[in-house]
Amino acid sequence: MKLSLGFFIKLVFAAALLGSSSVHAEKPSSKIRDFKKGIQPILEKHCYECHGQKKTKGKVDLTGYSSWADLEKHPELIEEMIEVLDKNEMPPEEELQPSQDNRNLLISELNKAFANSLNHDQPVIPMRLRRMNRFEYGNAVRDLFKLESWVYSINDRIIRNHSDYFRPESGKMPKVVRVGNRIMGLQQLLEDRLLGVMAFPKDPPAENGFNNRGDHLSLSPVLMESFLELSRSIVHAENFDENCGVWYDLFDDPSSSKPKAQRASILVDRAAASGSTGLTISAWIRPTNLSDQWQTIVRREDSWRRQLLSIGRTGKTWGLWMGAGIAGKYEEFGAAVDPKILGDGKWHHVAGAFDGEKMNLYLDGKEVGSRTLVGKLSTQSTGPMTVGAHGNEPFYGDLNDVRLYRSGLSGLQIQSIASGEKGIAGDELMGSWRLPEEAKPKITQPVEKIAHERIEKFLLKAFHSPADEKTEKLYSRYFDKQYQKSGDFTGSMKDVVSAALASPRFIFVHNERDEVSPNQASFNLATRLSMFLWSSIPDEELLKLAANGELQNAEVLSEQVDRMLNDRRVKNFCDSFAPQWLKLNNLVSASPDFKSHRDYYFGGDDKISYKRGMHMMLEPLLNFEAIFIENRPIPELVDSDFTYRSHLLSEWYQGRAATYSINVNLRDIEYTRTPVTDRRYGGVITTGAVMVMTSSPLRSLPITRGSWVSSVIFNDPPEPPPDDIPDLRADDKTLQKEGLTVRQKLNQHSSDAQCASCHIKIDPFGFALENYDLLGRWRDHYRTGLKVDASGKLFGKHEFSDIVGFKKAILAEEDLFAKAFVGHILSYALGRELTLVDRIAVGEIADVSKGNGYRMRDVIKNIAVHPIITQVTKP
Amino acid sequence: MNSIGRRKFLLGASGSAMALPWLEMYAADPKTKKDKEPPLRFASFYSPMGFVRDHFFPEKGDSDFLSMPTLSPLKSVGSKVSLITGLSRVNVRGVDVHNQCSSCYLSSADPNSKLKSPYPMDRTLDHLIADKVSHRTPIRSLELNCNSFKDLKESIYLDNISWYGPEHVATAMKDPSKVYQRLFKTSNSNKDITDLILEDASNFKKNLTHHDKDKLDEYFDSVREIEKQIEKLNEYYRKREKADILEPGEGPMTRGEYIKLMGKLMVVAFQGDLTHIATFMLAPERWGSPQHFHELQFTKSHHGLTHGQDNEGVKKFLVQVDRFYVELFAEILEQMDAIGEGAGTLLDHSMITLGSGLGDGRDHTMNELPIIVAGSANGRIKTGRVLNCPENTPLANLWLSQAKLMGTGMKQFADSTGPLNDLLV
Repeated sequence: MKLSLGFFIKLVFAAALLGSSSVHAEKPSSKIRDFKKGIQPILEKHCYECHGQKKTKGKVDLTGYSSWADLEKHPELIEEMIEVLDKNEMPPEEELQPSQDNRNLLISELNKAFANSLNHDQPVIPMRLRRMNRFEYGNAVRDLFKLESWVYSINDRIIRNHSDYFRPESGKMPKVVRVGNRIMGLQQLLEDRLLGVMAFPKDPPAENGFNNRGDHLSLSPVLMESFLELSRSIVHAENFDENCGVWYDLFDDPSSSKPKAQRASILVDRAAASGSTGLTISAWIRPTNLSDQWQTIVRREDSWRRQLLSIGRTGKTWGLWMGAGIAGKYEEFGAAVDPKILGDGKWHHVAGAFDGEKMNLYLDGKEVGSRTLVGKLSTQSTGPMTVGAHGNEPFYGDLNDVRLYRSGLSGLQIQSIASGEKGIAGDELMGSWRLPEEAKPKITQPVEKIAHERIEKFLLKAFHSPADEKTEKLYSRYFDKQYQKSGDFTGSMKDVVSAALASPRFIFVHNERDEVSPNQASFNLATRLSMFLWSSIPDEELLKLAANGELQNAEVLSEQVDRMLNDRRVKNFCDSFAPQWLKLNNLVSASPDFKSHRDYYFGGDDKISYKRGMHMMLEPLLNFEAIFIENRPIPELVDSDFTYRSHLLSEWYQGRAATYSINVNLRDIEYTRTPVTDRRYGGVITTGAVMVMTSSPLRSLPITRGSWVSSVIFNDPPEPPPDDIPDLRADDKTLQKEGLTVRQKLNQHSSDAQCASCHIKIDPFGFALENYDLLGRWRDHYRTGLKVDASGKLFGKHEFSDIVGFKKAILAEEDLFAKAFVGHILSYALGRELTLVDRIAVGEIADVSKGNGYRMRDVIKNIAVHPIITQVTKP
Repeated sequence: MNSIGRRKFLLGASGSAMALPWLEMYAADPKTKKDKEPPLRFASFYSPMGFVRDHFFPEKGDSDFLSMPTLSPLKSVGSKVSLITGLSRVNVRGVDVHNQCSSCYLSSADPNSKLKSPYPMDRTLDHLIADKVSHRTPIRSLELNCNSFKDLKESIYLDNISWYGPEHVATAMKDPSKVYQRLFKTSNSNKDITDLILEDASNFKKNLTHHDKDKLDEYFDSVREIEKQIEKLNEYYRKREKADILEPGEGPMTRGEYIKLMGKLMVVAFQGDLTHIATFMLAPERWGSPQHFHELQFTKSHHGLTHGQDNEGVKKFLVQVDRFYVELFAEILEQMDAIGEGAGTLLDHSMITLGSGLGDGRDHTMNELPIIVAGSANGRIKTGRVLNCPENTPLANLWLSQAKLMGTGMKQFADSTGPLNDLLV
């Protein structure tokens, strides 16, 4: 972690402004350590010459400090000293080195001094007011209304999950996952979402940071317009009502007797479905609007495996349609039906049956069409079947008694079902849905009172703190006013909700002052935890525990963090943190030269055609998720014995890559967990994704790669380059002419003393990866025929000759890697840049996590329960 | 909403875009019989990473800047354009150069003073001017940005020249249909909602710490600004016909088409007095990604090119990019000059600057910045010439002059040492 003086000044400045709760640094040791006898002689022998006596290199003069008290006035200097000693950067290689014991003594003494130097009450600001970014906003709205669909489809979330593979509660990542790539894939943004709701523009990440940084998330009129527009378009979206899981608790008119049909779904019984020989879908329908548009009776979307029963027109046929994945292909068949019959206002029975040989369609028990279709039905899909809705193909009218059978029922059986007979083919039933019939109880309270109670509950969740009386009245009165005007309960409630969505209490991620309400500190903690782990607002359980103050109880907190890490909303953490940490957005615009690297592209040009990077991008992300879900040690991010690859990707690494022009699966790609025995692969660093995005169109870029390793793996982004950097001139032609490798060429460049100090740090990282060409494939030689030299030394102590050795060297420094990783996550969790004082927390978290081999879930949990997040000071 | 292809929009909107009651607005005052002075428009265009110097600046003493390869596209409006040399900015050492190029280009912060943010940032020139003149127009200001990179990988500093204050970015619009809607779409203000959320916000403010309270002001400012704008726009369109322009449609555009379209929207906004202030980023600063320059028929990283310009082969591409952006700028000026307003043209009643935060992209120097000023600001600026300032004249001096011309009455801007008096007639 690199912390410059500037950040320190900022911290002190902030400290002066704020008097919030604080975390105490270690108390000063009672022993007075003797500077003059302890470390001064070592410094004198190894450091003073360049830093004070003959020169003051790096503007550091160490001779001026003659006591610990002197030195401890400069925590930023101590931090820097620890870092350069830890990484063997100082003294420089060619100078006299201290013994390892002396080096260790220096480091441990300096660490104590560092803690002492910060030994005054340093306020730690756990969360600053900031607006939500669009990723968080979408999640918060979805959770607030328990929506079935997304709010909007955005490519911030890269992996599209086609096989429901992400199950943290299972502790196991499936062997095969089916996924799409929203940012580089084809049509992966077309998904179930609220119609007509537009996201605001994506928020850019901070330099070497994340896009949840408070100092970057400000509000402007342009953005506020978007928030206002969203607050209206969400609740008024055409398909909001049926998607809204809290309809009855919020919007439904308590005085109307008829329950509103809302979106329903059928979760198929897996055990029953496992013996499927076919499929029958049976339903009662009473449509009210028979346009040409398709209307969904029941549907499960899963690429070519989708299954559906619908009415509407395709081509010349207006009729009943059945679709299913059969023998590896999506098959669809429609039978003409007279819309006048269906539109007569009476209930009709419709059914579709596939038995492995034929697909038959029935209306009111009579067969209306039949098509021969021989093949095996795909039964892999596990998601729920949605009743009455699919994107912009909703069903207008009523549906009831929808049933799914695991075989193709006979015409006779269908006829019996249509005639109302009970118990037909009961053994074959996989799932069903009926319209709730119970008439709603008569209300005994005034409608307004019910509304006010609902509003109170809603505001608690939307604002994740109890609203005071004044605020509650503000919204309740607004309801009364709207309701008096219109007499429309649902409409008035939507107005209220719309206003609340435009309130700063919703738009802004916030903590309120502890004194505001009795358990405010608990509510604040709930917000911090949920924004960190779920990128969303707290759920009912967190709010309940906050309301009675229990959340700050260590045991309860620990249970809750476990629960949150088992909850599928934790996918939001993986979706947001992992690609930003890995800087994977760089892959989107990576453009290997089209003429000389044609096989990187699937299509006929380099502008619109799809790239292999689309497959590559998902590999490190899936590896990250596997390590998270299975709570594997984070060093596996560097070196793992498995990796997730698509077939195409596996071939690519093996150098077998035909130019695919058509028929490449761009949507729903199967990734298989592949054992890795060759340590050149595995982990995230050596994936094609990282190699391609750290290359230029014509060659790999060792310095860019080195800078990536330094920033991502060691959380030590290089200083900005000096103003005057000469062009390297390392194109193939020049190198050929000069007979040099890029490395030799760069060494010439780096011999300049001014450049050397930085390059000595980053170059070894980059050259360690030189055996991967600009497309991520292994090479022993450059195109010029010269041999690749990937040898080097990590932190001046671990020599390596190739990438495998480099990975081993990183693992030998796993404590440093772990601290770097903790630093990344902590910065993400806090939504701010880390400051000097946070170094203590990073160290503590890393120390606690070490015992268990730095398992990822444990690391994340240790962050979540650390006082820097909880603000609970130990008694 | 009606929508046609973007190409068609570009063609359809040429010339008389708007049914403007121009004469009525600027005709001679019935009492004094004197022509009213047309309102002055201000726009600042930003091109990243400087321009290749030997193609941009003529030799010392040579005033024929319009013959320079990069500047020759400006010939058609040459008499209304000036080249200013010798302007510089101070590079604050130790923080990333490119970030401060863009984010501090128009900043009013003195780089030598104590900084409120990592870079010398503060309220930018466009907003300081808007504070003074925005009462004249329904829309306070336009912040436009033609960043067409698909990878949003760089920080906000590189992507914004317009700031309300340190760390408070004035969100730029990148989507032409958003700009269109801002200019032409009226809506009813919902006073009920606005009052409610503002009251809620005031209650909420009491629950916050000091620092957070300041941050919440962004909310109050934004909501009020929107309210004001809705009211003013409605008032505006009560008096005028709506422009006969259709909303730009979806669909891919080339780099050139995109910039032209955004430029057109800005011109229309100026012509219709919808706003008098705009900032316009032709492309974001640094951004290491390769970019497809359709019109130039190559895909290159502009940033990469600037560092390789010692190589003649690389330079050949770079000067094409430079010229490409100047051509587009020139086209926008031509459009403005084709729009008559009384005795002059829209361009005559404007002050349009094209510049960059870097003097030389190769070595990141911030001296000898490339600066072009177009439009005579109602005859106040002497145009059609090279204005050579003494070496290392603060760029802030030009900004101070412009702020004065725009009527702010400012006496000091950032590290200015005084206005550029030679700029004036």
